[in-house]
Parts: sequence; C-alpha cells; structure tokens
Amino acid sequence: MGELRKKAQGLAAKPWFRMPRQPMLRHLSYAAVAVVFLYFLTQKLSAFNDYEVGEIAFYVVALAGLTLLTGVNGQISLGHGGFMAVGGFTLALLVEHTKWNVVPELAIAIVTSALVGALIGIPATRLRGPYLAGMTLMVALGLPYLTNQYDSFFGGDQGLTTPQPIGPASINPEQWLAWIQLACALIVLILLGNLLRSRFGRSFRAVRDDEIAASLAGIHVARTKVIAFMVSAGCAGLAGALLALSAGGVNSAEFPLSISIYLLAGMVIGGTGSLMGVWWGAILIVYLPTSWAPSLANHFHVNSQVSANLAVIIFGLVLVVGMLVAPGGIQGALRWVAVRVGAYFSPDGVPNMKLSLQEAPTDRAVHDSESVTQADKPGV
Amino acid sequence: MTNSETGGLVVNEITVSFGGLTALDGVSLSVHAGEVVGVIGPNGAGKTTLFNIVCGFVRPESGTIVFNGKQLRRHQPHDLAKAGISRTLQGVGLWGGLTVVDNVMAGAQSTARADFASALFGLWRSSREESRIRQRALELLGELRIAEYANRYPLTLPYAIQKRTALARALMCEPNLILLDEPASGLSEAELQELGKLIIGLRDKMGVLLVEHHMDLVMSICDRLVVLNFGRVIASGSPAEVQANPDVTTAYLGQDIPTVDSPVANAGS
Amino acid sequence: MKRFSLHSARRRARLYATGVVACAVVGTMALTASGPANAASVSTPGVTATSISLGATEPLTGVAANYNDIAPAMKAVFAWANAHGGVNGRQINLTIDDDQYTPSITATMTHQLVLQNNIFADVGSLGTPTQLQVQPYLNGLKVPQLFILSGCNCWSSSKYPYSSGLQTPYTVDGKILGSYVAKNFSGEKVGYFTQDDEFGFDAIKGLNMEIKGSSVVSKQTYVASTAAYVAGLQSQVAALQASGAKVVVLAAIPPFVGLFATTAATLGYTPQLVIDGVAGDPSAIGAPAALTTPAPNGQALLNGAITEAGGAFEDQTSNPWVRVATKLLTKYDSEVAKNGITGDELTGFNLGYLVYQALKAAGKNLTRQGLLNAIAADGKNFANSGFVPYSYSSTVHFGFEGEQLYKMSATATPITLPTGTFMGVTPVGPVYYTSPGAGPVKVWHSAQDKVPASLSSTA
Ligand SMILES: Nc1ncnc2c1ncn2[C@@H]1O[C@H](COP(=O)(O)OP(=O)(O)OP(=O)(O)O)[C@@H](O)[C@H]1O
Ligand SMILES: [Mg+2]
Repeated sequence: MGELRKKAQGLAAKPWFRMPRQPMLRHLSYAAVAVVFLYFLTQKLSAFNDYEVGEIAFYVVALAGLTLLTGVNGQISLGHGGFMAVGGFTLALLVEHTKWNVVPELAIAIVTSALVGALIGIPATRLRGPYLAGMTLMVALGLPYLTNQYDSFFGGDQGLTTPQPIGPASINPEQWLAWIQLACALIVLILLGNLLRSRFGRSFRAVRDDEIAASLAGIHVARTKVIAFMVSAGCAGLAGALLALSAGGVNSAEFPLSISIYLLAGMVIGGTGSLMGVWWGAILIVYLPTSWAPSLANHFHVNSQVSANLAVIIFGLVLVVGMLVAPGGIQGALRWVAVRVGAYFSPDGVPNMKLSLQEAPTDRAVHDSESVTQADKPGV
Repeated sequence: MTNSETGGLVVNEITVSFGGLTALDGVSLSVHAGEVVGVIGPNGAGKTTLFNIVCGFVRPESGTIVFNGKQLRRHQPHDLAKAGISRTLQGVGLWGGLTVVDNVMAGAQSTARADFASALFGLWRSSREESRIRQRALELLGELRIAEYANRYPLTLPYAIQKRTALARALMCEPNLILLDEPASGLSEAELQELGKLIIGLRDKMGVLLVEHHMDLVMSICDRLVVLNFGRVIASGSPAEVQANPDVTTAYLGQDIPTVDSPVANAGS
Repeated sequence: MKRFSLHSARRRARLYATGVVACAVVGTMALTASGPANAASVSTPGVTATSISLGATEPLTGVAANYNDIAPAMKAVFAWANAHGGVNGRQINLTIDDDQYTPSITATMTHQLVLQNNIFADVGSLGTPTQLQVQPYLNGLKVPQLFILSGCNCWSSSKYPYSSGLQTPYTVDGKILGSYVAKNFSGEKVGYFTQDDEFGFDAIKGLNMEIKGSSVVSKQTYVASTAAYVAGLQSQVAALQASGAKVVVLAAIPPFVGLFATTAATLGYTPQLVIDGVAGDPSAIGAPAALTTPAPNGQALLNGAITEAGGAFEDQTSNPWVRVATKLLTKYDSEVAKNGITGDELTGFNLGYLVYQALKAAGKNLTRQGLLNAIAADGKNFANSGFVPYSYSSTVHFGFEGEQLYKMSATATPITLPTGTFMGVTPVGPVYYTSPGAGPVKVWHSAQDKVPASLSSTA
C-alpha cells in the first residue's frame, strides 16, 4: 500500500500529461474522450437503448441550462418546460414550412427560445424567490396553452409533426438521432463550460451571491440576469426541439408542468450548479418514471395510486434526504470521495482537502431569502 | 500619477429623506486625490446613506455630485467602477460561492473587454484576458499579503482576511476614489494598525473617503474630517479642529472623543 | 502561485473525471437495462408463422387508473382466441405497458413496444393526450395505431392514416345530445358545463351545431384535476343558476357530474341535466358515496337526467353480448372471475373481439397495410356489442358514431354499487347516429348485432 501511495505521489508531483489551460482546448479534449466512448456505446446498444440515451442527452441539455440559471445565477425557474415547448414548436414549424437541414432548424429553435427567455427574463430581474417561481410557473402553464389558442397555426390538439432525421442507410435511425442529441449535449456542455470559466460565469455567481456587491464591482446586475435567462432558455429550447425529434411531433400536452418540476428535481439531485452533475439528473429523469419506479412498484406490489406517483415520491425523498446528506447532489458527493482519495495519494499528504470540500456548498439552489434581506437592507 | 487639484469628488448640498425621516440634510463635502477624508457620526447619522447617494443606490432629492469635473446624475452603481470610483461595503459583501481570487478578479469587470461570443466559444481573446486579470488579482493579493488564500472560499476565512479581500476587489478597477465603509470593524488592534498603514499607502494613488467608528484610526490617518449628526454636517476640518468643536462632543454625548495624539503607532496602549 | 494553479488544474481534472464516470454509468446502465432487440422478421415486423405481437399503453396506475381493467379484458379475449387456435394459425401476444396517463411516458413505452417488443400494431391504447403524443411516431413508421380509446376528432385525419379511434367522437356525442335538447326543450335557456380541454371543446362543437346560439345563456368549464375537484364547483353552478338556464348540458367526467349534481342540490338549483356519453354509465356517476342511498344524496337532481351510451350496460344481464362477455371473461380474466364484470371490462371485451376480427379479416398473409385494408373493407361487418356498426372506412377512422339516449330514473331497476344503490336507466327513443361533420343526426333502425355462434359456442 505504501509503495502504491508513493508511486502515485510521484506521479502526481510530476504529471505525465497536462490538460491544456485554454478553456476551449481543455473542454474539447474532454469532449473528444467522450465522443469515442459514446460512439462505441451507441454502437453496442439496441435501438431502444439508443433512443433512451438520446433522451438522456436532451435532458442533459435542458438541465445544463437550468443549472446555469438556478444553480449558478440563483434564479429559480419552474418554467423550463415552457421554453422547451417554444423550441419544440419552433422546430416543428420550420419542418412544416421549410425544407432546411435539421442543424439550422435547431439553431433557430435556440434563438427563438432565447428571445422568449429574454422576454421573461427582463421582468424576472425584479422578482425573487416565490414571486419568480410563480412567474416562471406561468410560463410553464401558459406557453403550451397559447399553442392551443392558435390551433390553426400550431396544429391544434394534434400538434405538428417532426419526423425523425434519417442518416445514412447503414445507421439505424435511433442511433443517428442519439448521435445528433449527444452531439448537441456535448456542444452545450463545452460552451457552457467555457462560459462558466469566463468573466460571465464569475458575474453569474457574483450576482447570485450578492447583487449589491456585484453592481459595485461594475457588474450590470440586470443585464447579467437576462443573459443567464437567455442562455438557459436557449438550452431549454434546444432540448425541446431534440425532444420533438424523439417524439416525432409536438403538441401542447407534450410539455406538462411535470417536466419543469422533474428538471428542477433532477438538477438538484445531480448537483446544483454542477455541469457534469446534469448527467445524473438526466439519467434519473429518463429511467426513474419509466423503468425504475415501475419495477420497484411491481416488486413490492404497491397499490396502483401509489405506484403511479412512486417516481414523484422517490424524487421528493431523494431530494430531501440528498439535501441533508449530500447538499452538493450526486456530483458533489462523488467529488467529495474523489478529493479524499486524491488527498491520500497527493505529494504532501493532506493538502487541499478542506479547501476542495468547500466546493460542494458553493453553487446553491435557491438561497434568495438571504439575498432578499441583503438587497432590501437600507444600510448596505 | 495623482489627479490634478481640480479632480476628486464634490458633494454639494445633498438632501434625502426616507418617508418622514430626513437622512441627509444639505450635506456638502469634497474629497480630492491624495487625500483621506473621514466621515464620522453616531449610528444612523447618515454615513452609509451618503455613500449610497454617491454610488447611485439612492437618488437625492436635491443637491449635486460632481466627480472629476463631471456631474453624476442618474448614474447606476455598475457605472461607478468605470468612472473610477470604488467602494467597500459595511459588511464584507464578498461572494461566498467564488474563491478569493475570483472575488478579486470580478473587481476588474469594468476593464474587461472580452465579449459574450469569445467567452462562449472560449476564444483566446477571452482566455488571454482572463489570465491577465488573474495575474493582476494574484499580484494584488500578494501586495495585501493574502496570496496564500487565493484559492480558498472567503466566508470560511478570518474576518480580517475577508476585509482585505474586499479591499483588493475594490482596488482591481484602479479607482481614483475609494469609499471605505467601516473597514476597521471587527479587526484586532494589530490588524487595525496594518489597515491604517494600508490606507495611508492608498493615498498615493487615489482619494479615500472613509466612514469609521474607530476614533483612534480616524484621527490618526485622516487629513480632514466631516462630522454628521441626524443627517447634518455639524463640523468639519482637520482632526484637531473637529475634536475641539463642542457640538461634536454633544453629538457623541457620553462618548469620549479620543485625543489626536493617540495615533495608530501607539494604538496598542 | 505555481502551487495554486497545479492544485486547481488537478481538482478540475478530478471533476471532469467524474463526468466521464457519469458517461460510463449511462452506458453500463443502458446496457444492462435490456438486451438487444429481437431480430426483426424480414417480412412484417411482429408477425411470425406462429405469432402476432401487439402492444398497448394504458393508465394502469395514476390519475386515470380507473380504466385499468379495460386492457386485461382485451387480453382475455386474445387468450380465448389463442385457446381456440389463434387467428389464422397465429397466437396473439399482447404487451400492455403502463403509461400512467403521462404523455412522455407513453412516448418511451411506445418506442419500447416498437423497437424492443417489435410489435405489429398498437391496439386499444387509451387517452387523448397520451396517444396524440405517439401518433406522429407510429404513423411515421407505418405502425397501425388502432382502436384508440378516446373520442377525439383527431384520430380520423388524412395526415395520420395509420390511426383510428374506437370511442364515439365527442362531437358526435354533442350533436346527438344537442338535437335532443333542440327538439325537447326548445325555447328553454340552456347552459353548458364542460371540461376545459379537447373533450369539452369537441363536445361544444357538436352541441353548437344543433342548439341555437341565442338560447345558450352560460358556458361554464372546469379543469379535470384533483385540485379542482377538492375546490368544488360552487362558482360554476352559481353562475349557471344566475343565468337562469333551465337545461344544463354536461360534457364532464363522472366524478364531476356527481359533484355538479350535489353542488346544485345544495344551492337549490334544479335544472334538467343532459349528460355526455363519457359519463353515460350511471354506475360511474353514482360511485361517490354522496350520491348513493342511504341518503343524504344528490340523486334527486339526477332523477330524470338524460344520458347516452353506445352499447348495453353490464347490468343488463339479459343482453346477449353482456352474457357472452361475462361468460368469456369469467374464464379468462381473473379480475372478472373474482369481482364480476364492469362497464370497462365490457368495453375491453368488445375491443378485443374487434381486434380479433380485424386480424382474422386481414388473412394469412398479414401485413400492416393489409390489416388497414381489411378493416376498411370489412369493418362494418365486424360483430360487436355497439348499437351501431363499427364505422371505420378508408376515409373515416372512427369506431362508433351512434348513441342510445337514456333517462336516469328512480323507478328503473336500481344498480348496486360498493357505496350503496343508485338509480338505473331506461332507454329514451331510438338509437341516433351521425358524423362529427356537418351532416344531420339520423335514426338508426337496425337492431344490435347478433352474437356470432362461433363466439357463443366457445366462450
Ligand atoms: N433605504 C432606506 N429606507 C428607509 N430608511 C433608511 C434607508 N436607508 C437608511 N435609512 C435610515 O436613514 C438613517 C441613516 O442611515 P445610515 O445607514 O446612513 O446610517 P449610518 O450613519 O451609516 O449608521 P451606522 O453607523 O449604523 O452604519 C437611519 O435612520 C436609517 O434607518
Ligand atoms: Mg452605516
């Protein structure tokens, strides 16, 4: 054991490779590893499993956006299902009225939902906590409802068709779709990773932690919040468009309030504010309601009313217990373990352990009660 | 290196009230480059409000604020850093979710040029600027002798370190004027002395407007003092003049005004 | 400073390493979740020389779980068919997946049915929002989506030729009720009380075709949710009362019809009630304890209410279809064997028997298009318990388009419910039929289909 430890310490002291410092280069190199891995994974999987991986990918996109808004910028949103609807319907309308390739269609879906995000984000800069939650809730409920009001344009209750994109004949459609969705997820993670490592990421966090101090540092608080809202809504829009591709169509019932709530829960469980934690949240959102909860219910023969709500109950339980045991979510807990293991093997024995542990509670979900009092206090 | 004599902050006949309460009533004062001006007064006298007016958090009912010859009107707090005014908050106002060095880096927001696209796509334009700002922040932390805490999260650190971090953040934008709101609160005697030296050091580069309850400190480092009570200036002048003013003694009823000759150097006694 | 950057880089590396771990977990989980799909048969997916696989997504649990007895009854019919040689020598395998009446879960489950269970067709799946969610997907792959348990107009659309509904379209329901109101309560002020979604909208469409707009004095809606049920209907009922409506048409699900009746009774409001076929089964309306005897109960107002139904009720034990269904299901559906037959199980029986006949009509050389063609050609001859023939054609993809009107009556044979007894119904007038489009409401003269000997002798 001591041998191994020494060896590892030697390695750590003189790393045999070093990731590029430039954020884009660094993130691209991680992505390259992921691409290779995911390529072989999707090759191995059955068509249905590829479809599920694709679902995970678009939830990753939505969750990454949400974690930026809520975790990093401190603005809660119950309305991300609504932004997903905007993206989905935009894509569907483009499919209906143009003959473009899916890439520009997705791009326009992002832009449209980002613009709607700005529309919501501007008044949202004046709201906090429950008021912000309430307003975004209206988005989740209202936007799908709008599509019902103008049914000749949005296809009514039947909605609009979004055929699955077909790739080369040698690749089955589910795999092709999963690749498109995974590519989007990786690109989103890379770009948001860049953003969070830039002055914008710093501003997002600063505004979350203390708006007064942020404005004194020269950060335009309202603008920063709107930018976060737009980026986040853009991600949700992309996720909605990708969901539409999976579903084959969009309609107003496709984006119920429960999506918004699952997203929020998934984000917290994965690790609020953690870009990598969104994978955990996405896995949970995909597998818990359709696979894990039903098999649990089957196994324990619970009554039908309980079993339908089991996913929600488990989400709730994990949320509460998780917050108590691991406030940093799954990713935070993993990091905690990784740091302990890392400390054991690091050259100076126990460096940084305390230091790194502090990372967990930094990106908090909603601590606005705190900032409310700070901001409203007269003598700042 | 220093500003011309005409430079600096001129606050002219500022009046502001909250509801029925007149927080400031025709207050005037000025701070020139190379000068440390102290604002003192009992709790609730209006000192922080004065800062808030200068920073644009509160709009005055009447009166003007002129900085470096230009009148500030309808200015927003986030414009201030660019204009050359920096401020520390009465608490510490640090961001708990950012490391010390990130806290300080954020102070350079007003000088950052990288646009959204270059940040999103991680272009050199953004990353180079980041390295530059980080370098500058680390230097500043070094100057304030807290470089070893660069990578720590501030809210777990001793209060004195936090205060310095806040100061470093305020200095990142290289201001012409810095407003310090009770920088000495919560510091030990030894830390107090260091702070005094630090503030005197700032004088070379900028004007300092200081709100402080620590009379020892105020008396020893300020070039001029302004005394507020119930929103009015009741006295101003050199520390010695202010101390001799009977109105000041009345305002601080029951409170001893320390003598001028108990400077920072022998504050320990 | 050197030390700082080193540590920070390493920490980030760890962070991203865990990200990669996350990916790995996605992978392994997906791998273990299920094995690779069965190799699709070269000719028609889901069809082998000896078997046909079918799939259905149903609300086995959740808000609409009261319908969870329909699909097992359908499956029981297939068990009966399989026990008697299957269809054209093939055994029918039905996979029923629970979608909890949640569209996103329907999407996943339907993909699973198609990609993993390799189904030939999706049959008898339930719900408007849930089936709308998968309509483009199934049609895109040309997987038949037949006998959908929903009365939405949306199942008959040239855009989605592989879909078809089973339930009477809500617009047809509305038209038939509307024509009754126009004929029997002409000159009276009419109020609407409808569900605030496609069901209500489609029903209003039909009502408005028959009832003069000027006589409609108030239109009240409710949202079909537990919260709305708990909150009560005071404001809606009061508004209708204030409008002076003497006739109220309800396009509502059974619990809300019951709640409406009890609320109106407490407010002293006694309009003539006319109830859409969705709540046409009095045993469903009467289920709440508040409505059954011993009183106090809301039966008084429901006495004389007009309802409609497309087929016989399960308590009409003299009806040959009810008899044969009860017999067959008692043998093949353990739930029926234990607790007796329900209206839903009768529906499931009818559904299963229709699917069976459709597969049979499609012949030995079974293809998806062949199935649709066979139903279009032969559907009107499929024997079933409905009052009107199965109406699917190459252009109209609805199941049934007719209703028998009933009157709830305190003098009719009461029905026994777990909570007590509730009044029964007596038929009113002839069977009516019409299309959701502009055509008139007509009288259907022929009697109910006879139970085929092949069924009655083997059930
Ligand atoms: N936004 C506000 N709304 C209402 N009253 C306010 C507001 N800001 C300050 N005040 C009041 O104005 C007066 C001056 O407050 P201020 O904070 O400026 O005092 P201060 O001199 O900084 O006191 P301290 O030494 O305690 O910091 C106080 O009575 C305070 O309650
Ligand atoms: Mg103050």
